[in-house]
Amino acid sequence: MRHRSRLIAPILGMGLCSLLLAGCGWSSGETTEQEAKEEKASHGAMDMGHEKKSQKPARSAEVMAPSTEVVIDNFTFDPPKLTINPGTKVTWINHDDVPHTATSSVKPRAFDSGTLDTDQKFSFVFTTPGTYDYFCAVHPKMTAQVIVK
Amino acid sequence: MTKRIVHDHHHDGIDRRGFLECMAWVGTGIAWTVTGGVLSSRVFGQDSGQTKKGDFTFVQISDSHIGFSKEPNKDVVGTLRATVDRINALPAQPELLIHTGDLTHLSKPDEFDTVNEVLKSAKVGRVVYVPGEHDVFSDDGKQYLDRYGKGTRGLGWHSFDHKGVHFVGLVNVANLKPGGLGTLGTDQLDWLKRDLAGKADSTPMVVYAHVPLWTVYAKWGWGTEDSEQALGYLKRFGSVTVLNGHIHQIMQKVEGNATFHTARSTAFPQPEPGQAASPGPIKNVAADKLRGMLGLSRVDYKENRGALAIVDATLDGAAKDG
Repeated sequence: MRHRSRLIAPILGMGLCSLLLAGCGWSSGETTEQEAKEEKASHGAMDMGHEKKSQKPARSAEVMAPSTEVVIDNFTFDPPKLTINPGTKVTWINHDDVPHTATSSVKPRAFDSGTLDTDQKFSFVFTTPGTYDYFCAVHPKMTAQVIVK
Repeated sequence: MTKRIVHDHHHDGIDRRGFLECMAWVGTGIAWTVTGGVLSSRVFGQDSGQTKKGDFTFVQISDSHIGFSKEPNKDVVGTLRATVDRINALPAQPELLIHTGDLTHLSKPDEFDTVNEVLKSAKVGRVVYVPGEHDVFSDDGKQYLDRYGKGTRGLGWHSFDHKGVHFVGLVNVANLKPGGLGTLGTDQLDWLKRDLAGKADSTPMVVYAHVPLWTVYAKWGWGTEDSEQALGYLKRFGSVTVLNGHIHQIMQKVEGNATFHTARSTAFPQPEPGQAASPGPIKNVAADKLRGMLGLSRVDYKENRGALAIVDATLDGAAKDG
C-alpha cells in the first residue's frame, strides 16, 4: 500500500505538467532551435518558426498575441475550417509520420510553410480579412481553410 | 491412312511403325501450342529457358524513400541495398532498371546522393527514373532535375527505344492542384502524342510513371486526373505495359491490350484502399515480417510474344504475387 501511494504523487505531478504544457501550446516562434528558411513570397506579417522536437520546450516570457493551432495528423488538417480574428497567429504542427506542407492555394502564395517533417511547425499571422484556402503540396487531396473576419 | 495395319511383324494387330508416324504429328502439334501460348509466371530466380537475341529482362523498383526513418523501417538504405542484392542475384542480368519515383523522402541533396551510391552497385545495363512527389515538392524539382533531368523535358519526362520496345517515362507529380490527383498536363500530353506518332501498332510499349495512371482510390489521391487522354493515345498498340508506384503495394489490372501494374516499395508498406484512416506507412509490422512486404518486380520481354511477363518478388526471397 505504502509503495503505491509513493508513486501516485510523482505520477500526478507529471500528469499536471503535461496538461499545462499542452494547454499553453508552443506557439511562440522565438524558442530554441530555430531553423533558417529560404525567403518565400508572402503577404502580411509573417512569423516563421521551425522547431524540431525538444525534450524541454522553453516558453517565451513575452505577452503572446492571440494564437491558435492546426494539427496535421493522419493526412488531415485539424480543424479543417478555422475562423479567427485579424492579427491572430496560426501555428501548424505536423504530428504525422510523413512530411506535409500548409500551402495557400492561390498564386502568388499567401503563405507556404515549406516542408514540415514530423514535429516541425510553421506559424503565420493573418492580418487581412478573407478566406484563405490552403492544401498540402505533397498530398494535394488534403485541403483546409482559414477564415479571417 | 486407309490401311492402318501395314506392318504386323508380331502378329498382334498393332502397327508400331505406323503408330510412331502418327505420333510424330501429334508431338509437333503439342510443341506448336506451347510456343504460341500464354506466358506463365516462373519462380523468381529460375532461368526462363530458351532465350532469343531480342529477348531481355528489366527490373522495376519504387518508393525507396531515402531519408525516412520511422516505424516500420528505420533502415531504408539497408532495404534498398537488399533490393540491389536481389537484382544482382538474377540469373540473367537486367538490361534496364526503372525506378518509378519517391527515390527520396524529403528531396534533400544527401538523400539523392545516397540513392546514387546504393544503385551504383546494381549490375544492370542502365538506370532510368521518374520522380515521385517526395522528390520534387520541396524545391520544385531542382535537385531532382540537376541529377536526372538530362535529356528529359518538363520535370523529367522522356522516352527511348530498347531492342524494339518503346519506353516512355511520364511525370504526374508536377503542378499538383489542391484537392487533385496526379496530373500530366497539356504540355506533356502534347509531347506524348507526337512521341507516339509514326510508331507501328505492333511496337511493344512500356509506360512508367509514379502515381497510378488509373484510379486506384481517388480519396487518397491514388490516380491521375488526365490519364484518360494518355491512355487513349496508347489504345492502338498491341502490347502496352504500364508500371507505377506510389501506393507501396501491388495492384494489377488488364484492360484490352494494356496491363497495369504497381510495385511494392523498398521502404515501407501502405494500407489497402480504405483499410486505414490514411495512406501513411503501416506501422505495426513485426521486424521479421517487414521484408516480406517490400520488394521489386522483374519484367521479361520475349520477342513477338505480346504481353510482357511481370514477376513480383519480396525482399525475403519468396516469389509472391500481390
